[in-house]
Amino acid sequence: MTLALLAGAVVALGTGAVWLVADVADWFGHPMAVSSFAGLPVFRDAAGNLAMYEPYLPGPAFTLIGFGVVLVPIALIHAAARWRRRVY
Amino acid sequence: MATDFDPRFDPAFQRGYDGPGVGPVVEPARPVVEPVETRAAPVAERVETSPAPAEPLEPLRYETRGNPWLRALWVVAAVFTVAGLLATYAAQSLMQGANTSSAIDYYVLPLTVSQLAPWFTVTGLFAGVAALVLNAIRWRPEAQ
Repeated sequence: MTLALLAGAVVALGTGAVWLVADVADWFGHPMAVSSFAGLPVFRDAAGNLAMYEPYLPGPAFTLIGFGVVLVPIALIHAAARWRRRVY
Repeated sequence: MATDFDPRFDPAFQRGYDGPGVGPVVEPARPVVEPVETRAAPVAERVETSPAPAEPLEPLRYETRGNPWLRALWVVAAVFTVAGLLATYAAQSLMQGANTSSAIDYYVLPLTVSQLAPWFTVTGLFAGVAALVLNAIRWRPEAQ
């Protein structure tokens, strides 16, 4: 059970991280330009032109990472509550 | 005289009886229902099918002294809590900063850090409380 929880945590963290990197890469590769300059900073894009983008929005990757983060102490609690000193 | 005896009981044990010894057993007025053979079977079945006596709930038999998982839980609690608080501070600093050199610095990093910080903070506090409870359950006053 402990190993299953830890494996679930690793899977969730890994999948969430990959998903997050893919989301960021996708947003950065295809930034959506905004139509108004009000209140938004201006960046220089790869060609040196001034540009501004729609903000990057959080996706399900954060929830998946958070789920993995929560599973880590749960697995440790389960392991700690079942641990007994081995008597040889 | 025998008719004065209560037929339900042995006359030898009734007032006025002077006969020899204990007489025959008087058939009771209400016939005794003989146990039917098949009656034993359901009892046996009931005994067999009845659930085993419920074992008392076994308390968590773990040890806190030298428990490596409990130590790891304390470490995770501390690391997650500190990391979450630092991430919260870092996210606010990134958002308040005037660094507009790149969209990653302005948009992606603050949002990513600020989204992950609560997970780490709350989970770290949760792990700390859990470790405290695990220690408290096993705490015993020192032997006098």
